[in-house]
Amino acid sequence: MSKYVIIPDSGSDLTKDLRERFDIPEILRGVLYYPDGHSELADIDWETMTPEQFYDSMKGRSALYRTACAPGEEIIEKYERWLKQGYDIISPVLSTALSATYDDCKQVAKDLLAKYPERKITVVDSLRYSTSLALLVAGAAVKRQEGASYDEVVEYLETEKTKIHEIGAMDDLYFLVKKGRISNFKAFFGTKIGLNILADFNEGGLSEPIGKLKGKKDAFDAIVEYMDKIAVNPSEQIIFVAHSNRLDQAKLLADRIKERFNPKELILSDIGVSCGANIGPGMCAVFFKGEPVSKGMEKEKAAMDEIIAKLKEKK
Amino acid sequence: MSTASLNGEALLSLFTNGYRNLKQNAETVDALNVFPIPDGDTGKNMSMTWLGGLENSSTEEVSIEKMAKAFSKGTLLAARGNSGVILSQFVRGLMNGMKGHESITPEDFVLAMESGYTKAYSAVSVPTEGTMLTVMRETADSLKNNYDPFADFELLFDEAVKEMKKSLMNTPNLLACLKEAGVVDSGGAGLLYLFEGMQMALHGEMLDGNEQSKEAPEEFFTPDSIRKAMKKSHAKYAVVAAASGTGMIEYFKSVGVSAVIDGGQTNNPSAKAFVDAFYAVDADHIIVLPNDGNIVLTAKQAAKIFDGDVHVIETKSMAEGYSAMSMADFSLPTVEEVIEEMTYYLPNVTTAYITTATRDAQINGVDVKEGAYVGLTDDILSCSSDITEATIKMFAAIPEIEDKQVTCIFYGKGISKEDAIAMGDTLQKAYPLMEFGYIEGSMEVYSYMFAIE
Repeated sequence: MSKYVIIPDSGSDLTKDLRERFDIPEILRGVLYYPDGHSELADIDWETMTPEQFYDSMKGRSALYRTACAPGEEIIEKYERWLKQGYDIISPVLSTALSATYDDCKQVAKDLLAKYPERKITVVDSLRYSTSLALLVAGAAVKRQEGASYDEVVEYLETEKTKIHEIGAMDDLYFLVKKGRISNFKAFFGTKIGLNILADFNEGGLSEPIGKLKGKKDAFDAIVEYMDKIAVNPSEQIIFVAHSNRLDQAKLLADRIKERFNPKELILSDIGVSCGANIGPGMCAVFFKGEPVSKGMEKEKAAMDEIIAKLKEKK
Repeated sequence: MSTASLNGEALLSLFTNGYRNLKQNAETVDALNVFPIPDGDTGKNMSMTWLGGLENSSTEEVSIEKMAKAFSKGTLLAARGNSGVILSQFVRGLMNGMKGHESITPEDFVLAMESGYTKAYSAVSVPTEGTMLTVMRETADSLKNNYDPFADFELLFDEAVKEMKKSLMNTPNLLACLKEAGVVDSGGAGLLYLFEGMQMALHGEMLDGNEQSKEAPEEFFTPDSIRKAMKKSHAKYAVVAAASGTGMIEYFKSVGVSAVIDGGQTNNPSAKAFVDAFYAVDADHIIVLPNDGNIVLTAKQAAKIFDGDVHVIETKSMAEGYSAMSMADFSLPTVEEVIEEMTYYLPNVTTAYITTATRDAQINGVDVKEGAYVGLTDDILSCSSDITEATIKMFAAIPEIEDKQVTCIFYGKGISKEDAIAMGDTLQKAYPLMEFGYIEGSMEVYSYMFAIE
């Protein structure tokens, strides 16, 4: 059996610790345009600024960062490094709903395979981004560590990707709306103080609001209940809780999830610059696996409607 | 001038002018960007991509094949964003057409454009019409099929720019999201600017690399009048609210209230004012927020008089009106559902005010002194010469305050945002789990109004 590596892009928000743990040797780094106009490859390990500095700079919606997919030279360099050593490559990348990374990687792969005809590269459109992609990659990496073959890991990625759900609270939708990272956003106007937009992924891989509640207490109640309805065997899962500059809230949420579901493992992580530039500060969400997202999110929306109605009854 | 053939050096000079023209219009292209991801970066991404090609090419390379190879490689490496990737693939195909040539004729260029769009289409997993792809394809096909062979590049580019513009103007008819937003396709516009710059170069008009950005041409955007008309015919829901205080009026407008009637406790608006507003907003379903206990009946009266579907949500304060608007979701299919959302938190809203006492009195067990600050909900709850103390005491006297999660602080005339934030910080210490927000209400009568949910 030939050797292979898993190479995701920086849209996966995999921290250094997680990359080491899951044996992910490379990350295709996207481009971050700073508010002053200059651009750099994404600083995925917070080497030039801290998460607090980054998110604080976006406070008051003052600074707008922009992102672009990994440049061709970055993809070529990272892929070729492993092809040269005789490795095949599986590259799960950002959703095509959000980025040109997938098409770009496919193109590079095609060119490189002409040069290394005996090797294989499979680029997977994850239909996910940020921590949901991290969760998908982590699952694939565990498979690999358990000895799964190249084809088995590719199949795992393809079949599991639509099963990944998120449910989270977001203080401020400004950046997501501004950057087109959220579906069905016309429904919401302006800043809503204390209003939490609860969203899960739709079939196209975009976050779509399915409910809204005021106050973190109500929001966290709803998140836990939603997981209860949607997650499949949460006690056997690795579950991620991720946040953008909301560590205290994320810890509270993580504690509630541990208490309720006792998952195999709960990983608390932060949203990196690549996705953070488009999400902005104020997200706190949990990522887990359930059934594949239903058509038109009917099942997910019905579950949330029921939860919100119940919360109202309690009041 | 008549240019019958182009070598590497000459083509690069056209490309350079194309880049300059694109760069000067990059803000326009950014502004057009609604598809596939409305993040306003198409102009920037296309410029960066093209610049990569220029930087990778030598100005002294005479062979068009060699120049083409270097330029194409440069754009492929520099490609950024969807538009950049598609552009770089177009360039790649275009440059394939120059293989085996030291210089090219207009006919070669037309064939190369065909090879360019074929490559670009194949690079996208799901090609969408009404985008840059359409613009490159229609232009190339038309140049090939509808014209006699071009005698020189001047003629070719004159026609190419015309065809490209025609195709670009048609993009909103092919892609619904463009029509909705009232724009033409951004990538297509970027491509047009590149070609226009090349056309200028052929006519001897070399642009200065440092020129300022240009204003956007109006024709790329649907005129305001048409956009408004489109919007109006789709107004399914409208909200009419009463409010007083310039800040409050502005606030309600900013969150989607279609008509705000100036009126409150001291100047109750008439039923006619409401009816006039109902006519003005012209919607299938009108939702009314009276925002004052004394205005609810007037609003209901107006609803009866008006021949249309009007629903009054009985908000008794602007704070309740705020709560209703903060939950409003006008994408819901029925007015009943919209109202259900808007009223979700209403039973939980406590409206509290800080104002100044106009006379000495003993009310509700509170010793009120003229000129001092009074904290009140439906009852007077506190009084102090110190505004912070009056506020803290008032909060402490609100029933079930420990269950409340969010407070919006509206600050009135004479209170600065800094004052309001300082007040919020003080309250935060007393209620650590509560979230606070601030809105400039500029109310006349009240120093503060609190929407406590």
